[in-house]
Amino acid sequence: MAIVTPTAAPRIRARRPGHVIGLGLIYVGLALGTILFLGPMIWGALSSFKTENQLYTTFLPSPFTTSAYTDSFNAIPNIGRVFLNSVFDYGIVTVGALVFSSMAGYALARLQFLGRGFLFNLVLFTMTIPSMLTLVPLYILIADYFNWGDTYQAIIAPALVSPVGIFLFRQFFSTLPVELFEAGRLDGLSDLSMLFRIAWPLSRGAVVTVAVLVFMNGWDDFLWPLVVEHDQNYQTATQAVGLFVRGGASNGYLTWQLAMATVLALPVLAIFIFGQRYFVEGIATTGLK
Amino acid sequence: MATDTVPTVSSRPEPAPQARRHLAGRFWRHNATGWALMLPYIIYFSLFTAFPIGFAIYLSFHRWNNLFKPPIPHGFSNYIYLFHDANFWNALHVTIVFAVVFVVVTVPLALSLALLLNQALPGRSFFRVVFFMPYITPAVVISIVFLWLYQTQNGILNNILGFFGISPVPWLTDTAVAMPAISLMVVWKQAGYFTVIFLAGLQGIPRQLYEAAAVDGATGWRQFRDITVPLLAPAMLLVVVFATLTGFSIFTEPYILTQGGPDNATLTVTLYIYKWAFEYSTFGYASALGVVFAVIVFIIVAIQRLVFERDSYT
Repeated sequence: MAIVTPTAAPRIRARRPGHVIGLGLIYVGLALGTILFLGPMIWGALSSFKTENQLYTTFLPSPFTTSAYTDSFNAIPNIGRVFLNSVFDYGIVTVGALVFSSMAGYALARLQFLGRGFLFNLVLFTMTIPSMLTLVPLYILIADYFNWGDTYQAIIAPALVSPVGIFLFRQFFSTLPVELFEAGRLDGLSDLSMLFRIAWPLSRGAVVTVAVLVFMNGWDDFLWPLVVEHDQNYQTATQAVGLFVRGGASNGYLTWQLAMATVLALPVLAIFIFGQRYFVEGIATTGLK
Repeated sequence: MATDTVPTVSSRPEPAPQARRHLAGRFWRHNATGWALMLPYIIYFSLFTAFPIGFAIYLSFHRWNNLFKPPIPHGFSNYIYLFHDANFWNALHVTIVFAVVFVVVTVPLALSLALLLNQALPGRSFFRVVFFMPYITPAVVISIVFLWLYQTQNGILNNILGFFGISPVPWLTDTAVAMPAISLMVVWKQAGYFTVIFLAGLQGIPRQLYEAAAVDGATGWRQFRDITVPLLAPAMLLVVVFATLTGFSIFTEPYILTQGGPDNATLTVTLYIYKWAFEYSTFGYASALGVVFAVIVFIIVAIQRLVFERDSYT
């Protein structure tokens, strides 16, 4: 269910010629916007099915060929493993972030305790810290002190809690009616039970939003895997594709690179389309304080 | 997890010593649940945020090029070197130009799209999703697509421009054009996200205000200037701050597209720090760079908050 209750604008009924033109112009604007926003990616995906010399000359591939896909997959050893790594790493991160962030969000929204305001401000503050400040010490902590270089936990551990997730859960849980929790308390439920058995089922929007956000940010991440994973067996998909482009393994074949890019984008796109109804609404609430 | 008891509300006289012990127990029980639920975040923050920040500051006063040996105290030398480091100032210039272009283009664009989408048109949610697609696409993917789009010789963009009689633009190979080119690409990627935030802000403005203003004879422009803009100030602040942070943090796009070239024209501070840390293995100086960079970003964000919160009507 939508978190935001928008003030409904009245349905536009074109009454005068001016209205129709205005409406038409808006749709033209939106159509242009669609071409602008979808065009590059659709064209790029289409081009991945072309032969290299057609890259710039035709819109539709003719003949339609998947050679870019087979060639580029052969050019990256471990390509299957690399994708599995991404799914594994960020799947676990997403589950962890959902659990831990909702715990903190619940505490901040529903419980009274010493330091609550301070901790909430701390969460907000964490969201604004430039990542370059902590990059080097984090690397030393994880790769050197913990000796987690070239492992799964190097990627998973620092991402198990999401401050944005805490913020979203806290906002959302604050809107749930108090009576539900009072009833739960009367029934003798502990706070943990109330979180997972009462709050969660009612918060599908927040859960989907945080899940998509965390997974997407993880999948998308290039810099951190680049820093901590050098062994090809532990690299992530995004990292491998990025290195493929920059490392010469693609022999400069843009079709290969576009093929890899298309494959890389599919999982997040699928997840987004699945959850987009909740997700876009959920993002909107980050704007409401 | 122990059942949290509902505290009994009753007037309490000065607690006798024996009662005080009970009081202390109540304090713990009252707060324990909250703290316990916050524990994962507290651990996360201490380990992966607080400690690294402190460690970064510590390291910035040391020289550390070999991880097998301890860091060597170096006083302010890193900062002095930084002050004279032309490459750093160049990188800062590149980054600031990028961030400014990014914010200046993205904010009006996102606002315009939000205003467009705020009409109750059929198919509105479809368009909202469309504009949002680049945002969820991985930066690496978008960089590859634009690597191809921006090709000077045969790139689609130059082909289209050629149609209109414009000669090919060296998007990624000209020192003056490269960074704006990357900037536009990131605008394209991020616009949808800010559009959604603006849209939520717009929808939070009560319709009655516009109706009342119309009754008073205010035109669309007056309504926009006197109702929309002031009430949108909180969303505006959020968008500007987040856009600024985004602009300052980009790494993947210049890394994939140009690797900081041509001639360091796209060498952002992030790339520069990466180079010092992981290509030259100079962790002390890289930390100093990170500290200075973070301070600069903090100052800029603080100024923005002053500007916007002063004018906010909420």
